[in-house]
Order: sequence, then C-alpha cells, then structure tokens
Amino acid sequence: MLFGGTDVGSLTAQAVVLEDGKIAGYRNIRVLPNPVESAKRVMGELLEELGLRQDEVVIFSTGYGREKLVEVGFAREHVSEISCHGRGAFWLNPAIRTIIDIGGQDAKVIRVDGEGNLVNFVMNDKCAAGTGRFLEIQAKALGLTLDELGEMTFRSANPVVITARCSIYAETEVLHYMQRGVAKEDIAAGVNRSMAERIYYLARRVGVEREVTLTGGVAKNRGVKQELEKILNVKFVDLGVDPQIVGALGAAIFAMEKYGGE
Amino acid sequence: MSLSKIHEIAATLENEYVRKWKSEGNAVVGHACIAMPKEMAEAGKILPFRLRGAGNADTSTADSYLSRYNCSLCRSCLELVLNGSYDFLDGFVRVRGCDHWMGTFDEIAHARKPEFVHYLKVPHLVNEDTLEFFAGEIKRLKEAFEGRFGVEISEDEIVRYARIQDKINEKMREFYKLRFRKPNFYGSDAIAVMVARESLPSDIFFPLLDSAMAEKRKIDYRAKVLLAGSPLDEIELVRKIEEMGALIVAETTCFGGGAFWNMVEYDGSDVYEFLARKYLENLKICARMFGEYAYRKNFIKSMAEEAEVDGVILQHNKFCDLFGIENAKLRMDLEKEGIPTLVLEKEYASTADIGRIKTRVQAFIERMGR
Repeated sequence: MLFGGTDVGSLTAQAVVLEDGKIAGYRNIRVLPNPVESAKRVMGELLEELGLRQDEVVIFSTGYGREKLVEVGFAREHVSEISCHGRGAFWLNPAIRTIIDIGGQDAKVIRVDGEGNLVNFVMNDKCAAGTGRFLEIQAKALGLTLDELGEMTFRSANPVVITARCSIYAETEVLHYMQRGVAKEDIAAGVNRSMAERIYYLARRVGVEREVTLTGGVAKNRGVKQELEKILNVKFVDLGVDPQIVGALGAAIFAMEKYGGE
Repeated sequence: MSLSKIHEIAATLENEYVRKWKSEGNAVVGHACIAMPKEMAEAGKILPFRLRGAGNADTSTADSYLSRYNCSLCRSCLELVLNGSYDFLDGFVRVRGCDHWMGTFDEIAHARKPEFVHYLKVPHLVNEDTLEFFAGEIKRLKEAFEGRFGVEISEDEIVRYARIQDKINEKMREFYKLRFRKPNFYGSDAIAVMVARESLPSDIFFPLLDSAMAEKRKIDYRAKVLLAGSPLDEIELVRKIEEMGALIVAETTCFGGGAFWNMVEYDGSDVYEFLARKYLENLKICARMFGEYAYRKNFIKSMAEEAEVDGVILQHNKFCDLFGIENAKLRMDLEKEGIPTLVLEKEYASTADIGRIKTRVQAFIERMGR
C-alpha cells in the first residue's frame, strides 16, 4: 500500500510517499501564498514523478493548513507537526529520544519515548528568536546568503558576542559591529552561536536525552549545528535524509500505522 | 433556552437586564477584580459589573494611552471604555488588582473623566493586619457608594445578599461537578456562565443558572483539560481549543472556579470582617498575592484530581508578568508530579494567534495519548 504525508511550513513545503514501508520519493518546494495549494502542488509533483494517482495514496497532512486539507478531502487525517517530526525521526533511527526542529518561524524541542510516542515538547512563543527568520534577518544585515552565513563559523577565530535575545535588537548589534569594522566572519559566527544559545534555553525547558537529532531547514546551517552540538554537549545523529522532510515523513508514517492493516 | 440566553448575555455588554436595572433608577459600576465585595454593592442597589474584553481585538485607540507592552486584555477593555461601549456604567471601582489594571484605570479616569471612581486598596498579603485594613477599605467603599449614589447600605441587607451569593456559589459548584466525570457542558458554556454572573443582578442570574443546568449536552472530546492562569473571558478561544478535542472541564482562573470554589460562607460574624476575610482569602488564587504559590499549586492539583483531567493548560497574555512567571514554575512542578502541562502565551482575542495555539493544543492532546 501507498502512504503519503505533506508538511507545509512558513517558507517551504514537503511531500513524502512510502511504498512497502520504504521511502518511495520526496519533494521540497518553496511555499505558495496558500498552504492548501502548497500541499497540493508539492504532493502533485511528487506523485507525477512517481507515476502515481492521488487516489492510490492514503495521505495525512501536517503543518499549516493541515485541517483544511482534510476538510477539502485531500488528506484523510491531520496530525500536529510536533508529533510528525517526533515519529519521523524515531522511524529513521529508533535510538532517537530528542528532536530539535528549527523551521522558518518556529523552533521546537520534542521528546519521544522508547516507542516513538511524544512525551513532551516545547515551542518558541510569540517571538522570532531561535527561528530561521532570526538567521534570515542577520544574514541580510551582513549581506550574506544563508549558506554563506553557516560557513562563517568555520572561518572565524573570534566570534563576537550577540547579547540581545530579540531578533530586531540583535540586528542592531550586528550593524553596530559592522560599523566598528569587525570582520564579517566574526560577526556571522557570533550570530550562529547566539542562535544556538536561543535553542539551548528552549531545550532546557524539556531536557535533552540522547540520542539527539536536528531537523528543519536550519539543520542545513553547519555553523549553527556545530555551535548547538558544543553548547548541548551532544553529537547530532544524521538521519540520512533531507532534514526538512522529517515532518512529512512522520505524517506518512502515521497514515501507514493507522491504515496499513486495511 | 437558558443556556442560549446565558451565551447571549455573555456576548452583549449592556444586556437587557442591565437596561431594566437602570430604568428602575439603579446604578451600575464597573470593576475588574474578584476582590470586589458584590453583596455590599447589591445591598445598595448598585450592580457590580465586571469589565471584560468581550472578544475585542482592536486596541488601536487604547494603544495610544497604554503601550503595546501592556496586557492585551487591559488594552481591549480600555478600548471599549474609550469607544463608548461601557457608557452605561455610572462609575468605576478601581480595585487594586495588578499594575496593568491600575494603569488602565488611570487612563479611564484621564480620558473619560467618569463622575465616580473609587480606589479600593487590596493588600498583597493575608494576615491579621491586612484583614483589618481591608475591612476598613470595604467600609470606605460603602461610604463612597452612599455618598455618590444617595443610598443607604445597611448591614442587614449586606448579610441578606451575602447569603444569596452563598447560594449562587453552591449552585456554581454543583454546575462545575456536572462537567467533571461525565461532562455535560463545554468549557465555553462555563466561561459564558461566569461572564453572565459578572454582568447580572444575582436574583436574575440564579434562576438562569438553575435552568441552564437542566440543559445537559452530549459532549464529544479526546481529552479532559483544566485551564489555569491569568483572567480569561475569551469564549471563542475556549471554543477553538475544544474544537481540537481538548474539553475544558474545570478552570481555576478568576473567570472560572477561582472566583467561587473556595469562597467561605457567611458565619454570623461582624459583616465587614467577614467580607474582608471572604474576599482576601479567596484572592490567594491570583498570582498578585505574595507567598501563596503553594496555595495556588495545590488548588490546581486538587481540582485536576477531582475533575479527573488528562492535563493542565496554563495560559497568560503576553506581558502578564505575574502569571508569566508563575506559569513557568507551575509547569515544572506539575510535570514533576506527573500532570502533563502546556503553557500558552497569547494575545487577547487575536485571531492571528489561533493557528499557533491550535498546533500546540493538538500536539498536547497527542502527547497525552488521546
């Protein structure tokens, strides 16, 4: 049987299809203005690539618009992205107990038990601190791409200290350092470190149990990843897939677990 | 019928009973705290009407008086005062709640210049000295009412209304118990009941509640939840939480069980000493009271046990320092005791917030294995 999952975030949308308990394919696109259209587009493209029809696949939705996708009959059921990231990561590696997912607008720390069940979670509240948006703002102020920002950690010997927790005030600090003539590498490395500190404070609220993995778009920023490993004193487990598809994968797994026996 | 009437009253500020009350020559005063001695006001034919945000998210005018760093419930209420929605009030009792409310009342006094504003000072501690002080403050409020509204408030009348309030509190406890084991009402119904209570003369509210209790509903839910934290009158928010499957079966908030669950009954003692004890002791449910954290934690725990809930949602508005700090500690302590707990920080009545809140509530239900 075929099972699918869609996950729509603030910047990107993903789809995953499982066939015989294995990943048959996945796709990752930039979002459209409407989350329902984003989910339909990304899954449509994936199904076309796999030569499948939508009615052959039991689809679960997560992320933005997940309820609406059920209402319009595109998805059979919806599950929160928190449970989906937890289940997706655990399915890929059953040793995982903590998942740190950092997306464009939210950051979550998810704890699962030995069976992959969600046991606790914490998300950022009404604040962009510790999200991909924070990095976007600082990268723009520095005139760097997100990829370049991540790499700067490895070129800096003296990262600056960014004290402000607020993204806007942090940007002011970045501009201040630039005006003082501090090397871009050191400022960028300071940004990556301060991002890691924000996630650390969030993670402390639910505790971090090994093994730990990092998912979401920010997992692709090598600088933040290294700083976070240092501050948490862990080595992130590589799940062997694109870290952005874990939510959609989790949705597909929930579909498989619920309807796989039919 | 009565339940829909209650929802109608909760959705209206100047309800039909308030209009009738006023047409009979009686006064209505606004206040914002459960420390307001209701029976004393009613004994002088003055209706205590609790200010609420009524789901109003537009605070554009209020924001030029207060700031965006103030609690959004206060800003919402101020907006309603400024735009004339509370013009039916004959004055305000500035009950000393939190600093956000104090600032709100300052702005009300400044911008609207109401003819009657009385400051009821409320201590932050409960002991012999503060009880004596508060009894004196309640007497001062009585004199202010008498002076402004030309009424005489006798002790016999206060006692008569205190006994009516006792009956209502008892009835409210019965109503809450109908929500515990096999829930017959939604949490949104309960919030509407509380809001209606704060907006009606007691002799109107009691029979309405009594008949509403007979209208038991069939309720579908995935998990039973207790709601705690800062003042919450947002019926629509509770409805959205319940649509996700988290049925609110109890609240310890001051627009919920916190307003009456632990209220003592009249015992025949000196009426002012009694009122001081009744209202100040009960105010321990509010994070503005010093040194009473353990009381509040135990209140949440005991109600959670009695209502057999699956978890607790602790909510507060952004910039509510009192409950923001308290909720962080409560979450840790309740989790330690095995009670799944979710902290929700929100803006009052913000529709843009709903998606964010629903994601957390859905994950919370999934976490509870429901």
